[in-house]
Amino acid sequence: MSGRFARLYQEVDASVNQESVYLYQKLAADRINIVFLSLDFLRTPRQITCMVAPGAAPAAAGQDHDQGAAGLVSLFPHRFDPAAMAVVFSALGQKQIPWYAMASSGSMVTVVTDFAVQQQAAEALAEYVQLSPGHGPLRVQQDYDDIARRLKSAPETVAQYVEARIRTYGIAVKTGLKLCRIDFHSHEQVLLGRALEGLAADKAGFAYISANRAAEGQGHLAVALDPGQTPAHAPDIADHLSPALCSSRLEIRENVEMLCFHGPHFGDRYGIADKALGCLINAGIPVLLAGCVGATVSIIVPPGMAEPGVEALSTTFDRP
Amino acid sequence: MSEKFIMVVDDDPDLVEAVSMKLESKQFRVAKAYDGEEAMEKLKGEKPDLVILDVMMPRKNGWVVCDEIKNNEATKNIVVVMLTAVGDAVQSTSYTHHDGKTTLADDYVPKPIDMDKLMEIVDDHLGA
Repeated sequence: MSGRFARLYQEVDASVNQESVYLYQKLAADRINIVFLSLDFLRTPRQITCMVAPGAAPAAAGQDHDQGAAGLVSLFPHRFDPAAMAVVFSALGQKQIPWYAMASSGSMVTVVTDFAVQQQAAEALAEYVQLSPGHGPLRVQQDYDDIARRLKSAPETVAQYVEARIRTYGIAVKTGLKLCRIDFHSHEQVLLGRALEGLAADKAGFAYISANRAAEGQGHLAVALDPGQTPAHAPDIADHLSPALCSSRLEIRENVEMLCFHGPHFGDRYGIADKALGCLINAGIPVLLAGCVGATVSIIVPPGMAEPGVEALSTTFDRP
Repeated sequence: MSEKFIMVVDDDPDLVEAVSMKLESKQFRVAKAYDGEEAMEKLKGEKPDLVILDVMMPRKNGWVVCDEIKNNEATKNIVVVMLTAVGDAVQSTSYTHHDGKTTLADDYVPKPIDMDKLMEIVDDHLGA
């Protein structure tokens, strides 16, 4: 569980306003760190959810974007198993705990909830999973101890903010992904959870997931499935999801690609998302989905765009 | 190949996962912990040959965990490799950190990790 953050949300109708300044751009300009980002440019309006330190929110984004106090609950390691998504939908749907956004990293599925129900959300998830001995407490994360806090504010973080090229652990590419976007209503969450359990039972593997819930109970889930991690004989995702969600819309895009990278303390540093997305957009590479979770940036791009994307990112990000 | 047992401790779950997968691919057995408290709790029941230990973590930082490992008769022989982005604070493998306190770590690797370098260090210490 994270500490308390402010949840910022932006919808942009790019067909009407092509000169929009996106939330992550505003935050970078104000040197405000984004601890979580879920971006969905698949449809109009484009949706962006960011989490920032509470005091930073109004100055950065304007009161109209500030959706109030929120917290993050992370489930890890997911091992790219859809069962992790199923747990989130089943547990939070069963207990009717509101949540707003979700995104994955290389090991975590992170969910944004109201700060007031963060504890309840963590406990609901804990009922569905087996926690390891000595696991972190199911309570709001305390700040680092004195030594760590001092180190974090002194040489390390400052030095890395000013590095000319941002160091990473490498940029990974996944190709041939099947992107499924499913619209759902909040009352369908448990059904969706069961459908995802079916996907897990088939030993399907995902590369990236994100979800956003908008007004009036409407939401959508985007899953980039990795055919390389899924048995050839497994039923198609549509076979699992369509019967469960007959009232919903399922959209599938084949052969999308993913860029994924992480670096030291990315979660503590402002401007990473802006630089990454800026590199791609400036190179004419459309971004379909993006997420910043922990220290990881994940970006879904159209077919054939990952390699050019690596080139574009390499202008700003260092690859070992 | 090796049957050695390694514990990876870092509050960045993605890094833990990446390092663990690399170690597992080299046939090491791996345990994971996501902060210092969890690491110490697991060390009560498990005795790894080597601990890869981050410095800055919530609940209990890596300096303290290293001290506790090295000052405990039961765990003092566990090899400790520290991961740190504060490379300037490290002068040697038995170095002094910002509090002027000597740690007994056996080695360190600067962040961002060069995975091949880390594997070399692991192999050197475990004779794998």
